[in-house]
Amino acid sequence: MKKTSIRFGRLVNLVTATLLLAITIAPAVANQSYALGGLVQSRFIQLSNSSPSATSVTYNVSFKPTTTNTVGGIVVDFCNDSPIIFSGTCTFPTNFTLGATPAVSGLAGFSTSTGSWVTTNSLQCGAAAGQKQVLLYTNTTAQTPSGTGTAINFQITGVTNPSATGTFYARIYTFDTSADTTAGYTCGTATTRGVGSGTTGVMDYGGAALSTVTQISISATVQEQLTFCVSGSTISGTCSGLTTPSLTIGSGAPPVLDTTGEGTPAYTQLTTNASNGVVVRMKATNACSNGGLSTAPPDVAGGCASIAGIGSAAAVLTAGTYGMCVAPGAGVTAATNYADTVNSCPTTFNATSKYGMNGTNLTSTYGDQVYSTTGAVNAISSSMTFAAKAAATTPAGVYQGNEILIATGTF
Amino acid sequence: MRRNAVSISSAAVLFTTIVISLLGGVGSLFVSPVSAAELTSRFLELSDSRAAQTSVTYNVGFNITTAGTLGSIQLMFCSNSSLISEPCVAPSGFDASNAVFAQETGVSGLSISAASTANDLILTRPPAPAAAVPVTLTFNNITNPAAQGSYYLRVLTYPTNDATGPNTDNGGMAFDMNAAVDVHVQVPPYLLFCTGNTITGTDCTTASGDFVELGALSTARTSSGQSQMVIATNAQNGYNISVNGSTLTSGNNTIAANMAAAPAQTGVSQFGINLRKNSTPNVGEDPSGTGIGTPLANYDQPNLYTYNNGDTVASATGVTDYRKFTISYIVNISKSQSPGIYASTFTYVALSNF
Repeated sequence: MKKTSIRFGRLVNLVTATLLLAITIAPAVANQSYALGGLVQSRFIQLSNSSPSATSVTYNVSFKPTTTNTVGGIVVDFCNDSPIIFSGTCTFPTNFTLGATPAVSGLAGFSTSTGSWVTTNSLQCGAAAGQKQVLLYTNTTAQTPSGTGTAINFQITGVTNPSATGTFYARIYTFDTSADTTAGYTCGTATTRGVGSGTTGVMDYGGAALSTVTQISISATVQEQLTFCVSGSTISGTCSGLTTPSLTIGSGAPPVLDTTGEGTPAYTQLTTNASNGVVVRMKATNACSNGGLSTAPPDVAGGCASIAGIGSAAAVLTAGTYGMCVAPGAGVTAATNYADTVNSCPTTFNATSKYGMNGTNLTSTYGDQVYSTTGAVNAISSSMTFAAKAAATTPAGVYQGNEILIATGTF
Repeated sequence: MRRNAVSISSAAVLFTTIVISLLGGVGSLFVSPVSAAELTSRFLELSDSRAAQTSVTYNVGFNITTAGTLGSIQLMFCSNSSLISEPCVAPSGFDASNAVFAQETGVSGLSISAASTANDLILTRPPAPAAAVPVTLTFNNITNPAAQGSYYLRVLTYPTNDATGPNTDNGGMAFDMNAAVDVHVQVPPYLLFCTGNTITGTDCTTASGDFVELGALSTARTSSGQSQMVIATNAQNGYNISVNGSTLTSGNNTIAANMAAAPAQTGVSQFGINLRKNSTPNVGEDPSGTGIGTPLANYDQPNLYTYNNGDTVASATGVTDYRKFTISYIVNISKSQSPGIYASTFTYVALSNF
């Protein structure tokens, strides 16, 4: 008897071991799978926007079938609790919706394209009234997948993401026929499902995880910038190599001004991110307060003598006049009064060039506009040629003028 | 089961999307739990951009973005940044403590608060509604920063009257201190003077001839001739032109010059000149040209002639443009005038008085 008992015990042990082994290898399905296909491979759902509650989101669904059996229906069910397929329960992701009628486009991965794929059989389940939670994408004419190595792919557009941040899931199924899809995949209640591994027509299946996340916001600030420099010689780099803009107009040694006219340039450079551009004005100060060049006692007995500005309109210098023209850099526009439309304002005096010097404006509070930009510029150089011509009656003496250049940016 | 389910999920493609939103803000973006709006079209206009300059006028302009209660406007002048989230470093040498609030447009009733400092101007008024309109604020008597370079102004509007609490709108702007252009010109002393038998207009390059031929002298008629001279000068005190030379001479014989201005008289030995147009004889021209200057009295009478060696014949009291004089020469002889070739060389000297 003992011998018999031992054999029974061994038998019991053997049975127990078998049962344990069966449980261990049980697949991740609610019940033992008897589907026609199997677990789809290379499956994913790509979101165009992962922000919670984002609208008009596109879900790009892709998976590789396990067989080339014809497919009459594809189901994608979105659940908040798990991706476990054939689960009888599915928690609704709060505020999620595929829309009143899910929109699907870009279907690929079938070697046939007959019939019409429709989404009108999609299910509301836990979604709000008139909205859909479960996509049923069906074709009354079942289509043949291109192959097990070719992904079936399509995009669901107009999706509204769940309002909660975190992971949610999609359960993907294929069915053999449209009729089996609509009959087999049902919502008993908002959170229950009628599909099972034994459901007629179910073929391939698979789950995927998705996630909504908080956006990462990065802000960067760029402060307003205005750099304006003036030099007596050409400016290299960014306002480097500046020399004092002290100009002497004349020729010879020492330089003197005669009746033929002389000119010499000053150089400016402008950098700004002012979106509405910059205006550069010139304000003139001289002993006669008339915007020209002037000399005072002891050169002149009482009062002052001047080489007056040429006037408000750019013109050829006449005897006994003083003027300036602007050769603008890229993106810079010379004011009309200071634009040499004849010779483009060379850096030496030209008898046919046009110069301006509006004494009235130059002696006003903010001076006279000489050039401007309409927007931002970067290290743009412009030259300004100051020219004068003596008259036979211009009293001998040293004439001076101080030209203040003021840049105003509008941001 | 649950563990196996997790295993399958792991085996699947777990897909999580992280969206990074890059917000690039150009301009003064104020990161604040309560975001203020940005003032638009903002500018700062100066009457003088020279460093350390005093009595400068500052004209601040901007568009109010948010209509609502306005009680104060704060203007912060900084050397480091236009961003109101950053500390404001006062520009060295900048001083608005004596600023005079000269003008306001778009708003009214503002005045400089006693809480203002050298670089922090606060304009205050009893809180009142303000529309979203362009505003300008003008201040006189501000001292510029001491050094050349870029500086910044921050403008904030407040519903309170003392610039406290959250601001409604804000914005920054940049301005620059830079060198002025000094222009120097030296006009040298200038004297242009030329002589010739003829000069076209006042162009000395056309002066030609230096010999006046009076021909055969006669007791029955007056012999005459002329020469011309042009002068221009920038001498503040004008010029004098003198004539130097003896009367017409032939060996030991001379033709007497009129010591006093007298008319031409045939049969009488006389020599004289003037600088006028004459009819008796018909010789000479009146002075011409755009310059100033006149013959001296003795030489300024038509039909009266005189000559004294060294006399000043023409002068001006100030600077003059080109002026042309025509010298008329007349000679008469008596029957007792000794025969011979009578000649003289006259030198005209122009002296400018600077």
